Amino acid sequence: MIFWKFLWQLLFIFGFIAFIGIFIVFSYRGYHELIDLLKDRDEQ
Amino acid sequence: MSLIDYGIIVVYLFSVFYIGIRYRDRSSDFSTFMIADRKVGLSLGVATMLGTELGLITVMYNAQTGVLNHFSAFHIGLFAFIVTLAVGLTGIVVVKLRELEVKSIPEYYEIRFGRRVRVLGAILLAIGGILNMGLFLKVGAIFIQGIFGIDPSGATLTVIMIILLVMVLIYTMLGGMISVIITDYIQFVVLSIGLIISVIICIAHFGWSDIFTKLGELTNQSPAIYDPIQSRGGFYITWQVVLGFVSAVVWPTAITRALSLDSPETVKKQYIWSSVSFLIRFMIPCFLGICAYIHYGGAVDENTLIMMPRFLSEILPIGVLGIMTAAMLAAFMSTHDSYLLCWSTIITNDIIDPLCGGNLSSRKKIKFSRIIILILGIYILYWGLVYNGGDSIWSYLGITGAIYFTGAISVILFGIYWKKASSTGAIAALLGGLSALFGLEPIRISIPMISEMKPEEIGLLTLLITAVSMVVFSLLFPDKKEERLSL
Repeated sequence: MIFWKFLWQLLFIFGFIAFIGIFIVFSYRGYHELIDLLKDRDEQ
Repeated sequence: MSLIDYGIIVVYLFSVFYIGIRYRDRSSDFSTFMIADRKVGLSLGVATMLGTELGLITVMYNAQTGVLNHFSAFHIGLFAFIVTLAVGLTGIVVVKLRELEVKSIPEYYEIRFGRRVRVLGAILLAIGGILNMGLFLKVGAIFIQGIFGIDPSGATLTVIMIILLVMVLIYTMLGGMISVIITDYIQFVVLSIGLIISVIICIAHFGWSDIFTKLGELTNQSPAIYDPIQSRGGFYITWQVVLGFVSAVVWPTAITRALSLDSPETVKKQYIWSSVSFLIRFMIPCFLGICAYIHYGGAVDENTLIMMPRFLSEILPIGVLGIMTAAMLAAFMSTHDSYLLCWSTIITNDIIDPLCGGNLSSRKKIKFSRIIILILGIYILYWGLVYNGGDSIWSYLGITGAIYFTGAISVILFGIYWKKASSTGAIAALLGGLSALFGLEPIRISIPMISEMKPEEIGLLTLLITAVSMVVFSLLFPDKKEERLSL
């Protein structure tokens, strides 16, 4: 039981921190890609 | 809920509708309507993949899993993470499909096995997928009831379902894949903020250590709250590995997004990054469900779905509750528009168009897709009102999806990696997937021989049937040499 408890705690902390990182990076970059995609469509 | 919260929700909904109308005229080409001309880059791909996969339904059923199985349910996220990462690192299946430049999996069936396999595969895909989304509207309405504290008696659930359905149908029918990508992006941002804040507030509310202490007290220190083998058993865990693979590789909404990306290399990178998304989409809602369980002192209501939204409405401060509700509505819209677009375009592209000789114009395809979206909307309203199965939502989703994906896994894997795979084998495997229907609770309990079986056992058995069918029928009825395509 201790093994599983420790594993899930570790996984949650890792997942949550990674999620915050992914959110910051990909929301910023994704926004610019989205704008480019829409500009491209405008030009067409 | 305060006026500020209502204000946030209203502003969000108007913004989304504005976007839907703003980009309406852009989707005049079917390829754009379906896969955005394959111009989606890595970052937008990762963001919108999470936007699609982390829907309100996902949040609700994972919270329900957290309420019922506590931390032991985290193994579902762990396997989803490992499998998606492995797909990204190896490129198994997804890179091949992207290189072939197909728009959907049934298109691959035609290239490899011929048109009849494509049409049959698409029909089964549509049956499984449409059944799968049959409870989405009801689950969304239960969330609204819970978070707004609406009295569940009378016809309130039906009224909420109709209002939600009208919102989704208008938005999806107006747009196409570009609109879906925009909504998915907005949903990714809003829901991520909402979830991050909610988790922080939950931890602050209970205290990190106290979450584990209180859960232990409420369950008499049962090892099953952490140990998935004791909690659910080996068959269930094996089934979760299959579902992890399916969610990433075979499920049309995920694979359609991968096929929208600008290169096979981007597809691999997207899967590597999205592995974390596939982890947290299970784990965070599950964690919120566990917190709801603790908040209500372990008193599990008959309606386990409503516990998490009720809990959030009680602990989140003004403003945050509005953001979270807007985020969940965003998630609801995003999932529905992605799924409705996905199923309708597949029915148009892979059933109607081939049956019409492949001569339908883009304009007609879009028109057909929009009509199908409307029909699907009416169906999910009807199904949500009449279906009364008692399995958890996650089990329901797994077994209805299995009607399609058990056959699809065999056909795709053997089709790509086994030269002797034949069209007869593919048809046998696809039809074998129909045996997953026996896993649906109302059917299962009516047949004495299988009434004691669990959905995951029937799902695994179905997968075995499809794989054996594929091999046996391919060996017994090989394709003629001129029919066999080397891929």
